[in-house]
Amino acid sequence: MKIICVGNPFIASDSLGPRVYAALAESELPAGVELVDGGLAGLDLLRFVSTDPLIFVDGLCGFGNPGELIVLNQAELEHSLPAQSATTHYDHAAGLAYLLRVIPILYPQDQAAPKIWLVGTEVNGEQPPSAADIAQTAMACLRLAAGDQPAC
Amino acid sequence: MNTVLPGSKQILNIPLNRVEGDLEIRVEVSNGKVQDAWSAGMMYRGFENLLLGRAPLDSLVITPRICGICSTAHLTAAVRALEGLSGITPPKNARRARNLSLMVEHLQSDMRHAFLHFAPDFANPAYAHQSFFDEARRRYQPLQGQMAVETIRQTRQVLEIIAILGGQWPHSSFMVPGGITLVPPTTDLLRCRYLLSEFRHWYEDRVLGCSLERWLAVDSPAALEEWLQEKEAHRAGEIGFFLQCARALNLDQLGKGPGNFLCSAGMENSDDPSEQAFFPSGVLLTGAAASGQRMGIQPFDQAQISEHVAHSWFVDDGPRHPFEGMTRPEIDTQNNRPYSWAKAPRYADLPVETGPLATALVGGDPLLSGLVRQAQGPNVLIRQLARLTRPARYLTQMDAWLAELVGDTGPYYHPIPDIVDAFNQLEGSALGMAEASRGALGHWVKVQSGRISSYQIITPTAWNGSPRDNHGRRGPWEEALIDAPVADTDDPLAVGHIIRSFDACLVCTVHTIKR
Repeated sequence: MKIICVGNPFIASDSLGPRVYAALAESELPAGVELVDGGLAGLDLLRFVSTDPLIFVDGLCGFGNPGELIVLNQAELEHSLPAQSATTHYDHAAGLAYLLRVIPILYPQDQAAPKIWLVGTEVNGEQPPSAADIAQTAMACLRLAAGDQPAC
Repeated sequence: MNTVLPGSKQILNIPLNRVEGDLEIRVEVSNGKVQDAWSAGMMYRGFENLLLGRAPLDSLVITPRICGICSTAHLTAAVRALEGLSGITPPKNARRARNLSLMVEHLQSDMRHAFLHFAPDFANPAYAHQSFFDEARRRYQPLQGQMAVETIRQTRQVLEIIAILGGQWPHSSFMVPGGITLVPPTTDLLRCRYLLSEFRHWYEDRVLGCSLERWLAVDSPAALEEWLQEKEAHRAGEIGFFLQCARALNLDQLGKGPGNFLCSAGMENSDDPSEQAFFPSGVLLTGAAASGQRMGIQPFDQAQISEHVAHSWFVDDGPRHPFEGMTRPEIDTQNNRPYSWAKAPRYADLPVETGPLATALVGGDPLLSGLVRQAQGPNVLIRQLARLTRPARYLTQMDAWLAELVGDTGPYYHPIPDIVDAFNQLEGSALGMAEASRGALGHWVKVQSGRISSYQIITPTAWNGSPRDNHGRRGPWEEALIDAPVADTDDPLAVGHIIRSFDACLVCTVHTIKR
């Protein structure tokens, strides 16, 4: 399993992923779990995609109330990703949402695509994530990595 | 569908998707055609100022972050500038590895641009009446089309070559003054050859519809027609299908531009200056604006470059060579002339086009030169054909260099004692030029007392997408838009075709997932 944290540490509202990465880097991860600082790599994160399960960590906007923990599995993601062209057309702004749409189509029907989760906390405007946001997101990742489905 | 009434005129502001970054095009439309055009880069980056006062070696880490698509090109330009500053020459193996990485970056960029940016326009519902439409949807529909999916798969795989040679992609910093930071073991080099061969097989099968050798024998417009007639496989490949679509849409009559071309750096592989680079640098001036200038292909002379900012949001103290230039942002509310965060670079005071077509023409490519002569200038079809076929001009040389690396036990790095101290005591100025995916890229650096005192960067899109210069002359794609037909002001398709044929890149950042 890989936990891939994405975001921009220099933009407060987009810094949840890098901050969760820093928190998890200080934690003891379950055996076989690889932690990846995905930065702003977007589609280039495909280099890290194999058949291993993937947990993507990012700040979320429009999925719940500010500070609410969100955990979406593959089926939930398909219904939750925005429909506008930013997630269907490739361009420089094609970030994680585009990547999440691309991963399943890269695998022919006779090949198993990796299981994917998106874990994050609803951002609060332009505010940076709080310590509680970071802690609950990191904890949700650890539970998923350990094989538990966190209640949220 | 909205149209402009005959005899009236309308200004359209067009934010363009499927380009790299924040680009807004403003056009004045009258009698169904573009009468005037303005290109605006809408984001101030400030990387040049961010480098001021830093140690020279910092440019190897900072400048690749300018762009996630062409970070290897920025690294190449940065390291060449530092090597020019210090008089260090990297060994041949390092040059091969650097060239290979840069060329892989071009392969991925060309294919992603062709099938994820440019070709989806052929599946625009406005073309539903065209005979190619259903097939275009089958090939290019986002996230579903055969080529859309295959392009993502193939570019993901071929980029592994840069990850092997450079440790990561994008934003790697593996090139350092004197060479590269690792010695790839033979197993890694063999893996690179395998990855390149996989890409080649896909490119021959899907894009060319024939072998590399057969395509490279197409050396004139007449030979292109013969090749098309020769086999159904040629017509069914991406080149053949592109020609079918482009001709049906008259893309060979769109997007002429200024007719001046620049390639500022080839792929150098030798210490011997008499040995020509894999493709040569040079300038080709043919446009009407070039009157008074020496016509034809001539050597590239960086002293001929100046940057104009009269129509940009920067303090204007007249056109300046990059060594004398400054980046001082300013929005003067009393002055409504500026309209872009891009500067306007000029060569010999002229707007010039750069990119795969420019490189091919400067290098004397017989097919593309013949097509430009036949059409009496460039156009969307030729520009895009140059990009689609650039991998064909690269792949054989790339594999040859990889084979040479496998058999060469020479060094990849010339050690520099106390490199950090050495660079922190440097004084002087130097430039580094590189061929980026979209064309000529230059870094001009000045160092005083071991700190960067000036760093000026001219990107390919600054050349192609520049605003007007101090003489009021349009930038290349502004000029290319003149007379473009606009039947529907809500969906100005020709404007999109023209801009995308230059492969615009005005980079930006990425934010949270928004629902």
